[in-house]
Amino acid sequence: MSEATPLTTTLREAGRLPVALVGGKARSLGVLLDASLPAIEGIAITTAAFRAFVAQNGLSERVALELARRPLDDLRDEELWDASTRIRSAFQAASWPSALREELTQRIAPLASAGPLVVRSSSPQEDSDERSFAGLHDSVIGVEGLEAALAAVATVWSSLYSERALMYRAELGLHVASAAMAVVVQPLATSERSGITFTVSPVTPGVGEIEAVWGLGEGLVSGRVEPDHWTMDRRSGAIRAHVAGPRDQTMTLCAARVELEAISDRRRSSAPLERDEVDAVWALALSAEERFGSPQDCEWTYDRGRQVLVQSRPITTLPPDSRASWSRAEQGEERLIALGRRIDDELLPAMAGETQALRAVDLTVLDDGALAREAEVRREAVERWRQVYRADFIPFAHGVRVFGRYYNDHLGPRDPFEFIGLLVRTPAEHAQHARLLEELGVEPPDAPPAKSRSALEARFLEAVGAEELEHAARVLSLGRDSWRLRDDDNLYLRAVEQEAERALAEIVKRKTQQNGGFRMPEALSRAESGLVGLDATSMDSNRPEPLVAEPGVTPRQLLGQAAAPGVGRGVARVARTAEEVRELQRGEVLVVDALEPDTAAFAARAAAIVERRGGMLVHGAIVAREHGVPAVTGVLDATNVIRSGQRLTVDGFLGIVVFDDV
Amino acid sequence: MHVDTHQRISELLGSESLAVVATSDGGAPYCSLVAIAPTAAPLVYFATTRSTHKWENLIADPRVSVLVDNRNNDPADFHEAVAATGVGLAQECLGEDAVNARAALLGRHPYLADFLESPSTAMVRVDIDRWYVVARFQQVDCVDCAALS
Repeated sequence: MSEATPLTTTLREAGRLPVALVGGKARSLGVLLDASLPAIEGIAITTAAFRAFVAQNGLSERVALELARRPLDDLRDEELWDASTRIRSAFQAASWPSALREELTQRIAPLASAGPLVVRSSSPQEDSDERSFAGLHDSVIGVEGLEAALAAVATVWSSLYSERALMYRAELGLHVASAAMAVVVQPLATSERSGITFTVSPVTPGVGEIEAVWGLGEGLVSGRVEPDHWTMDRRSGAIRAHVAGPRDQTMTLCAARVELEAISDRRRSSAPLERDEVDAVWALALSAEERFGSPQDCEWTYDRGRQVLVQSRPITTLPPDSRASWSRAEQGEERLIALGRRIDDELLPAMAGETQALRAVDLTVLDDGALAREAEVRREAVERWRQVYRADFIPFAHGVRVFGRYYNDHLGPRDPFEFIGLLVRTPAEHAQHARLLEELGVEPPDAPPAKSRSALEARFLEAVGAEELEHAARVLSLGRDSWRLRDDDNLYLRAVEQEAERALAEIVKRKTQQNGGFRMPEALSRAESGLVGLDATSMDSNRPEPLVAEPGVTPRQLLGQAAAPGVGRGVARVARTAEEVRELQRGEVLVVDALEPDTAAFAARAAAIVERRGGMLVHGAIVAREHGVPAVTGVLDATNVIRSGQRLTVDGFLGIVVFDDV
Repeated sequence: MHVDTHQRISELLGSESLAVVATSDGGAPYCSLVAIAPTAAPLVYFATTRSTHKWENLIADPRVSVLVDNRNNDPADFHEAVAATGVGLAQECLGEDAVNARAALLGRHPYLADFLESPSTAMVRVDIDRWYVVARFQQVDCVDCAALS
C-alpha cells in the first residue's frame, strides 16, 4: 500500500476520492456535503483498510478456498448461506493490523463517545450506474462504543460475501474473490420519520415519487413497513396524488436492536410528512439530481427535526426477475415467528386432520364413480399442500439461519455451526417426535445418544447479557421450531401423498381385474392420469445431470461439505430408493442422493453418511448430527461415482470421502 | 466424473519445467529436483549425471515417484494449484529413445545444452503406471495408465 493511500477519511473528503477507494455511498455523501446539501458528516473506511485487514489475516485465500470447493453456480441457496456463514465467522475472529486499529480508534472514538453510531457498507460496485447492490450488504445500526464499532466494521466487510451478495454476484458474473468493501461510520440519526424519493418514477414517465414512513428508513427499505406515497409532477413540482399507507407499524431502535412495533394512535392519524415537508423533501432530491446530473434515488430521514440525506444514487432499473433469488433470502425475524405460529397452530393440524379423514375412507367399497371423485379430491389435496410447503414451510426453514447468525454474532465461536448443538432434540423431545412419526406411519429412529444442551444453552444466554435475554430466548425458540419443522414438514406432506397413492393403487387394481373384457369408466381413467401426473411434478426437480466418466480415471478422494463431525469407515451402500435405504446394515456407509426424513431411522445406523444434496442443514446432516454419525454432504454425483461394496473413509471434519482401495 | 483429469496432466507436462523425482535410497525416500520435457502423459523424461545419488538409487531400485505441479508459492495455490503424482518405473533411454529425450529436453531447456550433451549425462524415462491428480485443494483422482493402453 502506498503512503498516499488513506485508510480512513472524513466523508467530505471522500467526495473527492475515487469510488474504488471509498465506495459509492461514501463518495455520494461526500459530494452532497461538499455541495452544502444536508447530510450527516462521519468517516469513510477505505478499501485500502479492507485490504490491509484481509491481508493480515489471510482472508482472501480463506474466501477463495471456501468458494473454490464447487463452482458458485452449482451451489444451492442454502450452501451459499453455509459458505457465507463460515466466511463471516472468519472475519469476526480476525485480528486488526495495529496501525489500522490505531487510526480507526482515533477516528471513531470521538464519534462513539457522542452517541450511537451507524456502520454502513460502501461497496465500490454499489450504487454505480449499471448495477444496484442496494440492500445486499449489511448495515449495523445503533452501535455503542469503540469495540462494538470495530466489530461492526468487520461484520459489514464480511457481508461482501453474504449469501445474497454471492447470489447476486453469481447472477451478474462478477468476480467474488477480488471484491473489496469500504465502510461509512456516522452518528445515528434520530429518524423520527424517513423515506425515499425517486426524482423520476421507475414506472410512470413525467412524475417522481416520494415514500415515507414513521420511524427508521430500514422499515421501508426492507419492505416490512408500508409507506405513505406521493406522486410528484416533475414539471410543476405539484403533488399529483397522495395515497396513505396503513400506518400500522414502525421500525424503531430499542437497546441497539431494530424492532418492528405497532404505531401510536397519534401517528396513525397523520401522514409522516406535512404538505410543506413533502415540498422540501422533493426539492432536496432535485438538488441532488442537479448535483449528480442524473435522476436520483434518495434515502432521507429526519435527524433532530432536520431533513438529511442518508444516501443518493442513480436510479437503476433491473429486469424484475434478476433480484428474485436473493430477495427470497431476506426474511424478518418477527415475520418468521408469526409464520411458525401459523404453521404449528393452523397448517400442521389441518394437514394431519385432512390426512386422517382421507385415511378413514375405505376405498375398496366405493363404486367406480365415487372412487374417481375420491381420487380427484386426493390429487387436489396433494397439490394444495405442496403449494403450502413451498410458500410457507420452506421459507420458515430460514429460522434456523436467523438463530445461527444471532448465535455467531454474540458468541463468535470457533466452529460457525456450533449453534446446531442447541437445536438437536433432547430425549424427551425425541420421544415426542417418535410418537409423531408413528402416527404418520413412519418407523422412528432409535433414540439418539443423550447430549446435554444445558451447558451450551447456559453459555449462550450468559454471553448475550441480561438486557438481551428475552430476545435471545425468542430467537432460540424460533431456531428450534424451524429445525423441528425441517424434518417434520416432509413427513406430513408424505402422509397426504400416500393417501393419493392409495387411491391410485386401488384404480390400478380394478384396471387389472377388469382386463378380462370390461372397459374402465372414463372418469376413473382421467382420475388415474391425474394421480400419475402428480409424480411428474414431484418436489425434487433440481437434481443435476449425472457426470460423464472419463476413461481410466477413478476418483480417489471426493470433496464435499463437512456436515457432521467425526471419521467413519465402512463399505458403501448406495441407496437410490427408500427401500434401498432400509436395507442398510449397521456399520455400512450410506450413500444417497437426498435423504428424506421417512428413512432417517435407518440412516442413523450408518457408520457415515454421504449425500449429494449439499448443506449443513439438509436431512442427512440433521440425522447425522443428532446421532453422532459423521457426514459429508454436497458430494457431486455421489450415487453414480460411488458403487456399493467399495470401502470408504468419510471425514466429517474436513468434508472429504476417500476410496480406501484406490 | 471429473472430465478434465487427463487434460490437467497434459497441461502440467506441457507447461512445467521442473518436477520432483523421488527414488528409493535403500528403502528411504530421496527427493531430487529435475528438469522435465513435454511428453505424452504416461511418460516423463528427465536427465541426470551418472555420478548423482539419484542415479545410484534408481540403478538399485527403478521404482520412482514423480511430482509435477503448477504452484506459484502463493496463498492462491491452495485453491488454484494442480499437482500430479506419478508412480512408475525408471530406466535409461537407449538408442532412438535417447535421441528423442535429449531433443525434447533441449527444446524446453535450451540453456542446458552443455549438460544434456555431456557423455556423463544419462537420459532417463519414467513409464508411469498411475497418476494421482489433486485439484481444488483436496479433490483427488487416480488415472490408471495401464487401463488406457
